[in-house]
Amino acid sequence: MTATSILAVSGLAKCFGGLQAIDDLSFEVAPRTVHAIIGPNGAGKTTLLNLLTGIYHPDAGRVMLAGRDVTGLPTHLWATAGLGRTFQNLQIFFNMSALDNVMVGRHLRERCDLLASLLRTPALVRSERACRASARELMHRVGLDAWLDARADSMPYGALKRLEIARALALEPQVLLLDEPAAGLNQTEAREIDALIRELAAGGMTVLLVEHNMRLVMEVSDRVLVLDRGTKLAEGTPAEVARDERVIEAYLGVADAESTEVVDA
Amino acid sequence: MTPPRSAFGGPRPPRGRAVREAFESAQADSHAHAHPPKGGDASGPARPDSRRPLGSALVRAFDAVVGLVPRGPQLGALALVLVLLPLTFANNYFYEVAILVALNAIVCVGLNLLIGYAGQISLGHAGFYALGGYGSAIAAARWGWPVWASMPAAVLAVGVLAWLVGRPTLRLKGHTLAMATLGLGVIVSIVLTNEDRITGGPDGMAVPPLVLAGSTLRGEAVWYGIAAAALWIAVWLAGNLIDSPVGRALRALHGSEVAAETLGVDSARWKLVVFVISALFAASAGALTAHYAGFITPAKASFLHSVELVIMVVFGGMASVWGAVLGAVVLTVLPQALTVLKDYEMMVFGAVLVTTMVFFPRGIVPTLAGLASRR
Repeated sequence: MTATSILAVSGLAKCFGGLQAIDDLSFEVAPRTVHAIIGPNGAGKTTLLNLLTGIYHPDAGRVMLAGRDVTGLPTHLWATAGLGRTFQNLQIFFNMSALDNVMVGRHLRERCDLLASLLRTPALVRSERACRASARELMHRVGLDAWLDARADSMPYGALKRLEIARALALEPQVLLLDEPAAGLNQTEAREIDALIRELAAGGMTVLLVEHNMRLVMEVSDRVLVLDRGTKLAEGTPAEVARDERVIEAYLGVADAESTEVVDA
Repeated sequence: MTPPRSAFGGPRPPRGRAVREAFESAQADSHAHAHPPKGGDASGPARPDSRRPLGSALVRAFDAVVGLVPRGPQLGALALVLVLLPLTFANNYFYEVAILVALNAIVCVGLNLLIGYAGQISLGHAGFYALGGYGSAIAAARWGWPVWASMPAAVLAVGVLAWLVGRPTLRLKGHTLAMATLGLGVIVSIVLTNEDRITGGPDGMAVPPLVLAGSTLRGEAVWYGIAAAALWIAVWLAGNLIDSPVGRALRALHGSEVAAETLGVDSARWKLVVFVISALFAASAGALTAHYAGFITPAKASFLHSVELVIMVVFGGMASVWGAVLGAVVLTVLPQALTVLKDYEMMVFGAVLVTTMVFFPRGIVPTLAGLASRR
């Protein structure tokens, strides 16, 4: 691991039965950059993300996050180490309000004192008020002002996608993993997510982006990692990757007209 | 606002609606399991709006009574009901039933934290309840401890026991806690029955009365006061916990454990905390019951009693403090009221349970709340 990378993956491997989902994968992510991971369906993108949040344990390899070895730690300690994520298939707390969802994200930033909670001390009431205010601020930041008082199960899909981002940001992570943030969104909404990611990167956030939407990837990423069958097919700037013969063959060659058009441009 | 999106045609629907309609079908599969209310929307977008006035009026009415927002008025109302209730009592029998209701409700409020918020089932809470009673009784009767010391000591000991049982089991996924507590309950029951030199065996044992500041507390009215105060405190504590960072973490775990974990919530730890708290509630109620009744038998620890407690919580409504209280009230009073039916008592009792679960599948309070807030 070089001193400049905030996330360093080396020799990572994960196998499900006979399927080698991730095979000896190494890459590094520089701080304050947007690093995209692309690849055809089944390339191992989601497996990689689950490995990078402690949901799966790797068979081999090491993950360093902000200088700390986090390999094999339980999921909640990855969060403590500074990693936040969203989910491809939403994992919203539908039993709670939108604001409460974001407030859960503050779990590690607030003192979670059992006795104070049981007795509802004035100090707890004050910290709850501050927590609520910062959750509102985050919802404002991702453009969810209209849903401040909504219940999560009454919100449309696009808003829930943003809600997950706000919730992950509440953690104040060092690295933010976005698993297909534009999936299921229309062009306009995808562009709004696009703008949000740029804004986050400009604010100093390191973003690891797994995405199918090639236009989004090409527009916001500083670096792109192309996965194919669990291994690294190519890595580089969007322009480099788009020119790569193997990538075009494995991925872009079979992409739809829209993606090709963006690549040409 | 942006101009109407041509894809949807016609007049622009209210904010967010377009997106929702467009993705309702596309996302149906990913939403369906986590998100049952959405299914109803698909039948027709006009329906929710036509219902809104009545719905929101009901929501307001409901919020005023049992709502989630300000708990001050609710606790005030509970205090008022508990204070005024004795005015309706014709004789001591009513007091006895009311005391029993209040003490059962304390167990249910605690158990509801575990079932409704941590998503775990305990089939051994009667064991904790009985150990609270027996522990205090044995310390007071056999070892000569003052009751004011034996009660908290017994309750704390039960808390430690719960911690020892919960710590290894709550790290595992699934219903391992139900199995572990089931086993624990059975063991407690057997030990209480067979260790007759200490516990008095199947016949039970006499329990010394509660003595505070030199005066012996006895009589139904005094004990009603103690039970009512204890219930009020239990509801207050449980409400505080739910409405705190800890409670929020628990609700999150219930909503999506994987998402809660990625936000730093240590699920095993908080489940354990709630399990221990619920055991402390059960033990407190058990100790109070023993000193009130002046007698305790191993029947208190029976598996059937554990199941009965779970039924009270599910009947009243999981994840609702008021549901737990209501479940304890109904399922404690109902058998008393049904005794007039003699042989048919259990049949009618069963019918009431089945009917309730058919029409109020989530329990009475949450189902009513859901009806009131449906869009």
